[in-house]
Amino acid sequence: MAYSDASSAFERRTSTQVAIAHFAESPVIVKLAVLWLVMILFIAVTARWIMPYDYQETALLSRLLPPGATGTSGDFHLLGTDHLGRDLLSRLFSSIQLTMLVAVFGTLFGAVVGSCIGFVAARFRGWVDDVIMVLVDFQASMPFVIIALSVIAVMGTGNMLLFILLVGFQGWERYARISRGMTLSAVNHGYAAAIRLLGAGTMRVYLRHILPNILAALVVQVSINFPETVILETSMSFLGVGIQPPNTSLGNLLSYGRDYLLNAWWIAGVPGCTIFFTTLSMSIVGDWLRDVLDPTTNSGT
Amino acid sequence: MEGPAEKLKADYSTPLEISGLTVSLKTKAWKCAIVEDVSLRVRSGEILGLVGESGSGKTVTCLAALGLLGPAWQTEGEIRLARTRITDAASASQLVSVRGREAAMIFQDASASLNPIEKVGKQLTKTVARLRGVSTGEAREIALDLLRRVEMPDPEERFHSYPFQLSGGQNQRVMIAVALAGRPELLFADEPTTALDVTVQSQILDLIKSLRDETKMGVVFVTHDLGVVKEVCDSVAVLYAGRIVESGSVERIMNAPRHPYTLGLIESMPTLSGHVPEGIEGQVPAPDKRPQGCAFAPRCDKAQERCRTQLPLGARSDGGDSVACFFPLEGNLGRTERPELSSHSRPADGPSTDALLSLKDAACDYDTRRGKFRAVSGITLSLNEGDRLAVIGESGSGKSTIGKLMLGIEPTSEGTATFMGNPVPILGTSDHIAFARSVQLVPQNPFLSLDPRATIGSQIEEPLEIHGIGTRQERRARRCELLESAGLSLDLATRYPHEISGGQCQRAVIARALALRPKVLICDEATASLDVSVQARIIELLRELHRMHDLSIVFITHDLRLARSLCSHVAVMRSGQLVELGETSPMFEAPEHPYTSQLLASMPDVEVADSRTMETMQ
Ligand SMILES: Nc1ncnc2c1ncn2[C@@H]1O[C@H](COP(=O)(O)OP(=O)(O)O)[C@@H](O)[C@H]1O
Ligand code: SF4
Ligand SMILES: [Mg+2]
Repeated sequence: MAYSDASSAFERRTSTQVAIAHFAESPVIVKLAVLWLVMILFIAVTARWIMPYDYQETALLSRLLPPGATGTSGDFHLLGTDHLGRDLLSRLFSSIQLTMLVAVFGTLFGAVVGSCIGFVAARFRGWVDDVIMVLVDFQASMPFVIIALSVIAVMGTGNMLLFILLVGFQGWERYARISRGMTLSAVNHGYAAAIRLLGAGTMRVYLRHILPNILAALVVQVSINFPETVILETSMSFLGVGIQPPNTSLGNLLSYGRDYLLNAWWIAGVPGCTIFFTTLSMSIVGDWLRDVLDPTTNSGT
Repeated sequence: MEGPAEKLKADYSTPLEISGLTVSLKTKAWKCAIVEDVSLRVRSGEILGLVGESGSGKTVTCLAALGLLGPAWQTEGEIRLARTRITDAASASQLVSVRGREAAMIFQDASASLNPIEKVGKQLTKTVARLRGVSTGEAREIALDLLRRVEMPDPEERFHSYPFQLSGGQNQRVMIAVALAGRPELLFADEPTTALDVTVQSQILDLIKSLRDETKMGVVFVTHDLGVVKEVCDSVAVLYAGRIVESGSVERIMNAPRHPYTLGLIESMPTLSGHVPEGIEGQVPAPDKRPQGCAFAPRCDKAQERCRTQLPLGARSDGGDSVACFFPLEGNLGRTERPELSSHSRPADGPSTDALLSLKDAACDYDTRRGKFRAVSGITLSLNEGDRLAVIGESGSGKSTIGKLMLGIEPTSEGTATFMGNPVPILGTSDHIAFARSVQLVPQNPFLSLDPRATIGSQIEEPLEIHGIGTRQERRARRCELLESAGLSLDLATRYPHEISGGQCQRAVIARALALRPKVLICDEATASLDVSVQARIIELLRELHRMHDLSIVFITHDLRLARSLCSHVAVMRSGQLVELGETSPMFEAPEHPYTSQLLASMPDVEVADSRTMETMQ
């Protein structure tokens, strides 16, 4: 058709091209961080197939082997073994998988629920808004770990789904605040009002117009929340109220290692470093994303 | 070595002299000239008007003259401000001694330039003490005196007010007082009255003129309103794409413009006598996309081969006439009369049976923290098919509220609003969805009313989608039709709002509003944020749409000249009351209500004498 011909003559970059261009211009540290995260994600997805041994298999003769050691039966342990002779590399892969599972689904859950709560507050205003904002303030002034611990105390450990939802829920108040604030300003911005005047319903205004406009801010919040979720998960597991054996997460690994810090540092050191580098990478990427997605520094789409 | 801002022995009668000024924006990778080869001179007691569309470099020229540009800017050429030479290398302290004492500047938004958390008297006193080096007690006296000189009502009382407690006009008076604190020889005024109501604007213009007479300071007056230029300026420099294209005395420029661009600007001005503005096609090229040769060539209908390759000799504003054009126009300006749009003769408030949209004794309350606030009351008016009703009045007079009542955004607190015999449904109710197909809004700021993250094409199609009209293909076809009828090229459909100009955005908003084939279009200050040349083209579009689609229009505006050029009927609002209602031409010729006469008298107009409008263009 005529207009598509005309538009192809006019050179414009798609959003993917813009994103690639941005990434190419990013500092080295951001590229390293992205590389690390890609590796972690790859491990999380393929852990089952790439782990050299069964992560639960014990071998009492090969206990506390240092990294790079070969066991009595001639099996090679790149990262050594733990106090039960289990291969640490395999356990690490399995832990990364579980930690990532909890963090990804938990964060998404929190983001969706929190944003929706914010939308509801902005849409209805009045007492609904007041109640929600009081809850938000309450949440913001209360360490989430306390809430999480008391829920676990009542519901008991071992329910994986509940744990994911619980961990993910931390930070909901921040999404709620952002989506509420930005929705209110979008409404005042005028385009939302203009579209309503055309006869559009609430759903169309919110999902088709406001959501795409505030998505950037929510994505940045996700990138800030994600490492916090990882830390919350690992600390709960470390305390023994998170992931339960035989499953294992980075927090579990860390807590086993605590008793052997002096004679087998690698048991705690390896998961500790993994947590450290992963959360650090996420923070770096998050900061970078915030700059890239900020409309005042970027006129692209 | 001489200091870069060395004191010159100079000619007091020429407080500003700029020659060959080129200002560029520089980054590591590129350099781009924003203002090129500008020469101008302002004498004591002279008011020089700097006119041109937005983006032509007016503000940058003023800031450069004051040395207010940041480190990313580079200036070449000579600037002499009173006794000081301004150069890039001038140190901050040297410039500080210039600003305020030798030259001062006032801006469009006065309240944004004042410190919001300090009383205006204190701000003024501090400035006086700093600039004149007197004790605080003395400075206080001088400050109070300055407030009196800028004709501030109740100066003693206002002295202790915060900026937010003052009106826009009063804040602008404070700004002027601050500017006068150092007894400058030159005042830069960048659109100082653009944000003000017409009656306030005319008071501020009078004030600037009388202060000029009193202090003999020179004034550089930046504006896009040629009516204002005619009112206050002695000479004019027209700026286009960073260059002065024409300069001369205000009479000569207004009566016999020689540059096609100047003519275009003058023709773009609506007048109180009903000149239909014509506008200039196209837009000011971005600084990095300026064409070779005459920058105006792509928009000029006199352009020839030579214009595209060679640069016409620059015009300089130094008292004499000059024009930068290979084929300057000759002779006096006349006006082409254009066919009046049909107007049914009927009293707009009369009991008409076929009224499309009418308000009867309508009142509207807003909830505020201090209870209900009645924005308008006792409004009775009606809009018949094919009418173009202007609602005029100053800000806060309730013009937009009338629009909201007609659109069902606000319910009437008293009286009724009816559309084709039925009450206007309220936004958010299910009846309103059907009503939305008949009555549509074109709001003031087109950028704000388009979704920044959706393409123009999809937004124009959206109303059809919402109302489930047509198949995908049909909607696509209709979208092309709409783009065309709004005067937009089809390739704009794939762009985003920030990728197109303000005028194009407003056309897109109009196209979207027309998608549902409404009967009534309510335009709320629809052209207020646009340049006059662009505004004129939007008015032309609205006239065209009215003719072709039998559209009825409610045009809410503070500009009486626009009302005159577009509308068949006028409703004059004043503090929530309808003070006069009637047909346009009789009302403009012989207003009945004193307030209408006052509004008409304060409106700066480009027309010189009535007789001239009768002449036709050769
Ligand atoms: N800080 C800035 N950064 C980049 N471009 C600028 C800046 N300020 C002004 N410009 C550009 O300089 C040109 C002239 O601007 P300006 O002097 O403000 O025009 P006017 O006052 O006539 O509207 C415009 O094209 C504008 O985009
Ligand atoms: S020089 Fe040519 S293009 Fe430029 S204004 Fe004159 S006639 Fe038009
Ligand atoms: Mg400007």
